Amino acid sequence: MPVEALRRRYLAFKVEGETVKRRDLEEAIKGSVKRLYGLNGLWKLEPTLIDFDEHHRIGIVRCNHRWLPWMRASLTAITEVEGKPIALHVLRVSGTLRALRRKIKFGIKDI
Amino acid sequence: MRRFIDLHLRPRSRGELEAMLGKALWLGYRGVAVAGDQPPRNLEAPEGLDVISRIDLKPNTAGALKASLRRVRRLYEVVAVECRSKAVARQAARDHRVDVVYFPPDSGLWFDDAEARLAAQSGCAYEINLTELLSLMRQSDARGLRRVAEGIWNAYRRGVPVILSSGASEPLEMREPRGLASLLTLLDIELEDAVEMISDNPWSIVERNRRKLSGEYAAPGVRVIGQGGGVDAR
Repeated sequence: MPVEALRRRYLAFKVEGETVKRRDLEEAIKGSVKRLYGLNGLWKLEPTLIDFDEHHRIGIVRCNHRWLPWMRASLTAITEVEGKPIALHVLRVSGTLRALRRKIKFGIKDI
Repeated sequence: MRRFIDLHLRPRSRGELEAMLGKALWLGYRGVAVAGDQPPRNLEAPEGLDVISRIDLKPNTAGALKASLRRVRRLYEVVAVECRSKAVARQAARDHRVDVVYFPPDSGLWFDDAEARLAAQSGCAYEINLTELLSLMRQSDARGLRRVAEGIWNAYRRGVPVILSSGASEPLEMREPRGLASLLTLLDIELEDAVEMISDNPWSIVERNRRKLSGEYAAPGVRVIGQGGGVDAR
Protein backbone atom coordinates (compact mmCIF):
# COMPACT_ATOMS: atom_id res chain seq x y z
CA MET A 1 0.00 0.00 0.00
CA PRO A 2 1.50 3.39 -0.99
CA VAL A 3 2.02 5.69 1.94
CA GLU A 4 2.01 9.45 1.47
CA ALA A 5 4.82 11.24 3.26
CA LEU A 6 3.52 13.42 6.05
CA ARG A 7 4.19 17.06 5.27
CA ARG A 8 3.58 19.93 7.62
CA ARG A 9 2.63 23.55 7.26
CA TYR A 10 3.46 26.18 9.83
CA LEU A 11 1.23 29.23 10.14
CA ALA A 12 2.25 32.39 11.95
CA PHE A 13 -0.70 34.35 13.22
CA LYS A 14 -1.37 37.55 15.13
CA VAL A 15 -3.91 37.78 17.94
CA GLU A 16 -5.95 40.97 17.99
CA GLY A 17 -8.19 42.05 20.85
CA GLU A 18 -7.83 41.24 24.53
CA THR A 19 -4.94 39.44 26.20
CA VAL A 20 -5.14 35.66 26.10
CA LYS A 21 -3.17 32.90 27.75
CA ARG A 22 -1.37 30.24 25.75
CA ARG A 23 -3.41 27.36 27.17
CA ASP A 24 -6.72 29.09 26.45
CA LEU A 25 -5.63 29.91 22.93
CA GLU A 26 -4.62 26.30 22.29
CA GLU A 27 -8.00 25.11 23.50
CA ALA A 28 -9.78 27.70 21.34
CA ILE A 29 -7.90 26.57 18.21
CA LYS A 30 -8.66 22.90 18.78
CA GLY A 31 -12.25 23.77 19.71
CA SER A 32 -12.70 25.73 16.50
CA VAL A 33 -11.36 22.85 14.36
CA LYS A 34 -13.65 20.41 16.15
CA ARG A 35 -16.69 22.68 15.82
CA LEU A 36 -16.18 23.22 12.08
CA TYR A 37 -14.85 19.83 10.96
CA GLY A 38 -15.55 17.44 13.82
CA LEU A 39 -13.24 14.75 15.19
CA ASN A 40 -12.50 13.71 11.63
CA GLY A 41 -11.04 17.16 10.98
CA LEU A 42 -9.18 17.18 14.27
CA TRP A 43 -7.13 14.07 13.53
CA LYS A 44 -6.57 15.07 9.90
CA LEU A 45 -5.36 18.56 10.79
CA GLU A 46 -3.62 17.63 14.00
CA PRO A 47 -3.38 21.30 15.04
CA THR A 48 -0.52 22.01 17.44
CA LEU A 49 0.35 25.36 18.92
CA ILE A 50 4.13 25.43 18.60
CA ASP A 51 4.82 28.85 20.01
CA PHE A 52 3.01 31.87 21.37
CA ASP A 53 4.72 35.16 22.15
CA GLU A 54 2.41 36.94 24.58
CA HIS A 55 4.33 40.21 24.24
CA HIS A 56 4.08 40.52 20.45
CA ARG A 57 0.85 38.46 20.44
CA ILE A 58 2.19 36.29 17.64
CA GLY A 59 1.79 32.53 17.56
CA ILE A 60 2.80 29.61 15.37
CA VAL A 61 0.49 26.69 14.74
CA ARG A 62 1.33 23.48 12.86
CA CYS A 63 -1.00 21.41 10.72
CA ASN A 64 -0.89 18.79 7.99
CA HIS A 65 -0.25 20.41 4.61
CA ARG A 66 -3.25 18.90 2.78
CA TRP A 67 -5.65 20.57 5.15
CA LEU A 68 -4.17 24.04 5.20
CA PRO A 69 -7.43 25.78 4.09
CA TRP A 70 -9.23 24.03 6.95
CA MET A 71 -6.65 25.33 9.39
CA ARG A 72 -6.99 28.87 8.04
CA ALA A 73 -10.76 28.63 8.24
CA SER A 74 -10.60 27.39 11.83
CA LEU A 75 -8.36 30.30 12.85
CA THR A 76 -10.60 32.78 11.03
CA ALA A 77 -13.70 31.42 12.76
CA ILE A 78 -12.37 32.15 16.26
CA THR A 79 -14.18 35.19 17.63
CA GLU A 80 -13.62 34.79 21.37
CA VAL A 81 -11.46 33.04 23.93
CA GLU A 82 -12.84 32.54 27.45
CA GLY A 83 -15.52 35.13 26.68
CA LYS A 84 -13.02 37.76 25.53
CA PRO A 85 -13.54 39.00 21.96
CA ILE A 86 -10.50 38.39 19.75
CA ALA A 87 -9.56 37.90 16.10
CA LEU A 88 -6.75 35.83 14.61
CA HIS A 89 -5.01 36.84 11.38
CA VAL A 90 -2.62 34.57 9.51
CA LEU A 91 0.58 36.48 8.73
CA ARG A 92 2.70 33.91 6.95
CA VAL A 93 2.64 30.24 5.97
CA SER A 94 5.74 28.13 5.50
CA GLY A 95 6.84 24.53 5.09
CA THR A 96 9.56 24.80 7.71
CA LEU A 97 9.64 26.35 11.12
CA ARG A 98 13.03 27.93 10.51
CA ALA A 99 11.89 29.74 7.34
CA LEU A 100 8.74 30.93 9.06
CA ARG A 101 10.67 32.31 12.04
CA ARG A 102 13.02 34.12 9.67
CA LYS A 103 10.11 35.67 7.74
CA ILE A 104 8.39 36.85 10.89
CA LYS A 105 11.61 38.25 12.30
CA PHE A 106 12.10 40.45 9.23
CA GLY A 107 8.48 41.50 9.06
CA ILE A 108 7.84 42.08 12.74
CA LYS A 109 8.14 45.87 12.59
CA ASP A 110 5.21 46.00 10.15
CA ILE A 111 2.99 43.85 12.34
CA MET B 1 -0.96 39.01 -7.78
CA ARG B 2 -4.54 39.10 -6.53
CA ARG B 3 -6.14 42.43 -5.71
CA PHE B 4 -8.44 41.79 -2.79
CA ILE B 5 -11.42 43.95 -1.99
CA ASP B 6 -13.80 44.01 0.94
CA LEU B 7 -17.03 45.26 -0.57
CA HIS B 8 -18.92 45.70 2.69
CA LEU B 9 -17.70 47.71 5.66
CA ARG B 10 -20.37 49.33 7.81
CA PRO B 11 -18.58 51.46 10.42
CA ARG B 12 -20.68 53.11 13.11
CA SER B 13 -18.52 56.23 13.45
CA ARG B 14 -15.89 58.24 11.62
CA GLY B 15 -13.20 57.12 14.09
CA GLU B 16 -14.01 53.47 13.50
CA LEU B 17 -13.98 54.04 9.75
CA GLU B 18 -10.45 55.45 9.85
CA ALA B 19 -9.26 52.55 12.01
CA MET B 20 -10.88 50.07 9.62
CA LEU B 21 -9.25 51.62 6.56
CA GLY B 22 -5.79 51.31 8.11
CA LYS B 23 -6.49 47.76 9.11
CA ALA B 24 -7.82 46.82 5.67
CA LEU B 25 -4.52 47.88 4.13
CA TRP B 26 -2.57 45.93 6.74
CA LEU B 27 -4.65 42.81 6.06
CA GLY B 28 -3.78 43.00 2.36
CA TYR B 29 -6.86 44.58 0.80
CA ARG B 30 -6.46 47.01 -2.09
CA GLY B 31 -10.03 48.28 -1.95
CA VAL B 32 -12.91 48.64 0.49
CA ALA B 33 -16.50 49.73 0.02
CA VAL B 34 -17.88 51.78 2.87
CA ALA B 35 -21.63 51.62 3.37
CA GLY B 36 -23.31 54.76 4.64
CA ASP B 37 -26.17 57.18 4.19
CA GLN B 38 -23.71 59.74 2.82
CA PRO B 39 -20.83 59.04 0.43
CA PRO B 40 -17.59 59.42 2.47
CA ARG B 41 -16.29 62.95 1.94
CA ASN B 42 -12.97 64.57 2.89
CA LEU B 43 -11.69 61.16 3.82
CA GLU B 44 -7.95 60.64 3.93
CA ALA B 45 -7.66 57.07 2.70
CA PRO B 46 -4.30 55.37 3.29
CA GLU B 47 -2.10 55.28 0.20
CA GLY B 48 -2.66 52.14 -1.81
CA LEU B 49 -6.24 51.66 -0.66
CA ASP B 50 -9.16 52.40 -2.96
CA VAL B 51 -12.24 53.59 -1.03
CA ILE B 52 -15.53 52.93 -2.77
CA SER B 53 -18.89 54.47 -1.85
CA ARG B 54 -21.76 52.09 -1.20
CA ILE B 55 -25.31 52.31 0.05
CA ASP B 56 -27.36 49.55 1.64
CA LEU B 57 -31.03 49.98 0.83
CA LYS B 58 -33.46 48.32 3.24
CA PRO B 59 -36.89 48.83 1.66
CA ASN B 60 -40.07 47.19 2.93
CA THR B 61 -41.80 47.05 -0.45
CA ALA B 62 -40.85 46.74 -4.11
CA GLY B 63 -42.28 50.24 -4.73
CA ALA B 64 -40.11 51.75 -2.00
CA LEU B 65 -37.08 50.07 -3.55
CA LYS B 66 -37.78 51.59 -6.97
CA ALA B 67 -38.21 55.06 -5.44
CA SER B 68 -34.93 54.74 -3.51
CA LEU B 69 -33.07 53.56 -6.60
CA ARG B 70 -34.20 56.59 -8.59
CA ARG B 71 -32.80 58.81 -5.85
CA VAL B 72 -29.42 57.17 -5.13
CA ARG B 73 -28.22 55.32 -8.22
CA ARG B 74 -26.02 58.10 -9.54
CA LEU B 75 -24.62 59.05 -6.12
CA TYR B 76 -22.96 55.75 -5.16
CA GLU B 77 -20.54 53.40 -6.85
CA VAL B 78 -22.19 50.31 -5.38
CA VAL B 79 -25.90 49.93 -4.60
CA ALA B 80 -26.83 46.96 -2.41
CA VAL B 81 -30.24 45.78 -1.27
CA GLU B 82 -30.95 43.99 1.99
CA CYS B 83 -33.78 41.57 1.18
CA ARG B 84 -36.29 41.06 3.98
CA SER B 85 -39.23 40.00 1.84
CA LYS B 86 -39.65 37.93 -1.30
CA ALA B 87 -41.24 40.85 -3.19
CA VAL B 88 -38.21 43.06 -2.50
CA ALA B 89 -35.77 40.24 -3.35
CA ARG B 90 -37.47 39.61 -6.72
CA GLN B 91 -37.58 43.30 -7.62
CA ALA B 92 -33.94 43.78 -6.57
CA ALA B 93 -32.79 40.78 -8.61
CA ARG B 94 -34.69 42.01 -11.66
CA ASP B 95 -33.62 45.69 -11.52
CA HIS B 96 -30.42 46.49 -13.45
CA ARG B 97 -29.73 49.46 -11.12
CA VAL B 98 -29.03 47.05 -8.25
CA ASP B 99 -25.47 45.73 -8.00
CA VAL B 100 -25.69 43.42 -5.01
CA VAL B 101 -28.38 41.60 -3.04
CA TYR B 102 -27.89 40.02 0.38
CA PHE B 103 -30.14 38.17 2.79
CA PRO B 104 -29.82 38.67 6.57
CA PRO B 105 -30.04 35.27 8.32
CA ASP B 106 -32.91 36.40 10.58
CA SER B 107 -35.08 37.09 7.51
CA GLY B 108 -35.43 33.34 6.91
CA LEU B 109 -35.01 33.98 3.17
CA TRP B 110 -32.37 32.80 0.75
CA PHE B 111 -31.28 33.44 -2.83
CA ASP B 112 -33.63 31.06 -4.64
CA ASP B 113 -33.54 29.82 -8.21
CA ALA B 114 -36.10 32.36 -9.50
CA GLU B 115 -34.03 35.25 -8.13
CA ALA B 116 -30.85 33.71 -9.53
CA ARG B 117 -32.44 33.59 -13.00
CA LEU B 118 -33.52 37.25 -12.77
CA ALA B 119 -30.13 38.32 -11.39
CA ALA B 120 -28.30 36.56 -14.21
CA GLN B 121 -30.22 38.73 -16.71
CA SER B 122 -29.85 42.02 -14.86
CA GLY B 123 -26.17 41.63 -13.85
CA CYS B 124 -26.83 41.67 -10.10
CA ALA B 125 -24.53 39.76 -7.72
CA TYR B 126 -25.26 37.71 -4.61
CA GLU B 127 -23.33 38.69 -1.47
CA ILE B 128 -22.40 36.69 1.63
CA ASN B 129 -21.26 38.55 4.74
CA LEU B 130 -18.66 37.01 7.04
CA THR B 131 -20.24 38.40 10.23
CA GLU B 132 -23.48 36.62 9.41
CA LEU B 133 -21.71 33.43 8.38
CA LEU B 134 -19.72 33.40 11.63
CA SER B 135 -22.83 33.91 13.69
CA LEU B 136 -24.47 30.91 11.95
CA MET B 137 -21.37 28.83 12.65
CA ARG B 138 -21.24 29.91 16.29
CA GLN B 139 -24.84 28.87 16.80
CA SER B 140 -24.35 25.68 14.71
CA ASP B 141 -27.41 26.83 12.78
CA ALA B 142 -27.60 24.02 10.21
CA ARG B 143 -30.68 25.45 8.49
CA GLY B 144 -29.09 28.89 8.14
CA LEU B 145 -25.88 27.42 6.71
CA ARG B 146 -27.92 25.32 4.33
CA ARG B 147 -29.69 28.48 3.08
CA VAL B 148 -26.36 30.18 2.38
CA ALA B 149 -25.01 27.09 0.58
CA GLU B 150 -28.19 26.81 -1.52
CA GLY B 151 -27.91 30.48 -2.44
CA ILE B 152 -24.37 29.89 -3.70
CA TRP B 153 -25.38 26.78 -5.66
CA ASN B 154 -28.28 28.66 -7.29
CA ALA B 155 -25.95 31.51 -8.20
CA TYR B 156 -23.41 29.08 -9.71
CA ARG B 157 -26.06 27.26 -11.70
CA ARG B 158 -27.33 30.48 -13.28
CA GLY B 159 -23.95 32.18 -13.70
CA VAL B 160 -24.55 34.91 -11.10
CA PRO B 161 -21.35 36.31 -9.54
CA VAL B 162 -21.00 35.64 -5.82
CA ILE B 163 -19.28 38.17 -3.55
CA LEU B 164 -17.74 37.46 -0.19
CA SER B 165 -17.44 40.44 2.15
CA SER B 166 -16.73 40.95 5.82
CA GLY B 167 -19.83 43.02 6.66
CA ALA B 168 -17.73 44.33 9.55
CA SER B 169 -18.99 47.16 11.73
CA GLU B 170 -15.82 47.32 13.87
CA PRO B 171 -12.14 46.52 13.24
CA LEU B 172 -12.25 43.30 15.28
CA GLU B 173 -14.76 41.82 12.84
CA MET B 174 -12.41 42.17 9.88
CA ARG B 175 -10.42 39.17 8.66
CA GLU B 176 -7.56 38.58 6.24
CA PRO B 177 -8.80 37.78 2.70
CA ARG B 178 -7.45 34.25 2.35
CA GLY B 179 -8.85 33.28 5.75
CA LEU B 180 -12.20 34.63 4.64
CA ALA B 181 -12.04 32.56 1.46
CA SER B 182 -10.99 29.43 3.38
CA LEU B 183 -14.16 29.62 5.45
CA LEU B 184 -16.24 28.90 2.37
CA THR B 185 -14.57 25.52 1.91
CA LEU B 186 -16.84 24.53 4.78
CA LEU B 187 -19.76 24.93 2.36
CA ASP B 188 -18.02 22.75 -0.28
CA ILE B 189 -16.82 25.72 -2.32
CA GLU B 190 -13.47 25.30 -4.07
CA LEU B 191 -10.81 27.55 -2.58
CA GLU B 192 -9.97 29.14 -5.94
CA ASP B 193 -13.65 30.02 -6.51
CA ALA B 194 -13.85 31.51 -3.03
CA VAL B 195 -10.76 33.64 -3.71
CA GLU B 196 -12.45 35.02 -6.85
CA MET B 197 -15.44 36.01 -4.73
CA ILE B 198 -13.24 38.40 -2.79
CA SER B 199 -11.11 39.69 -5.67
CA ASP B 200 -12.19 39.50 -9.33
CA ASN B 201 -15.97 39.41 -8.85
CA PRO B 202 -16.28 42.55 -6.72
CA TRP B 203 -13.68 44.48 -8.74
CA SER B 204 -15.61 43.84 -11.95
CA ILE B 205 -18.70 45.44 -10.38
CA VAL B 206 -16.75 48.47 -9.18
CA GLU B 207 -15.00 48.96 -12.53
CA ARG B 208 -18.25 48.60 -14.46
CA ASN B 209 -19.99 51.19 -12.29
CA ARG B 210 -17.08 53.62 -12.42
CA ARG B 211 -17.22 53.49 -16.20
CA LYS B 212 -20.96 54.19 -16.06
CA LEU B 213 -20.57 57.08 -13.62
CA SER B 214 -17.64 58.62 -15.51
CA GLY B 215 -19.87 60.25 -18.12
CA GLU B 216 -18.52 58.14 -20.99
CA TYR B 217 -21.42 55.73 -20.66
CA ALA B 218 -24.44 56.37 -22.88
CA ALA B 219 -26.36 53.07 -22.94
CA PRO B 220 -25.49 49.36 -22.70
CA GLY B 221 -22.86 48.80 -25.39
CA VAL B 222 -22.60 52.52 -26.27
CA ARG B 223 -19.74 54.69 -25.02
CA VAL B 224 -18.91 58.35 -25.69
CA ILE B 225 -15.40 58.43 -27.15
CA GLY B 226 -15.21 62.13 -27.97
CA GLN B 227 -17.23 65.32 -28.36
CA GLY B 228 -17.30 68.19 -30.84
CA GLY B 229 -15.34 68.40 -34.07
CA GLY B 230 -18.24 66.99 -36.05
CA VAL B 231 -18.20 64.31 -38.65
CA ASP B 232 -17.43 64.95 -42.25
CA ALA B 233 -20.80 64.32 -43.88
CA ARG B 234 -19.66 64.23 -47.49
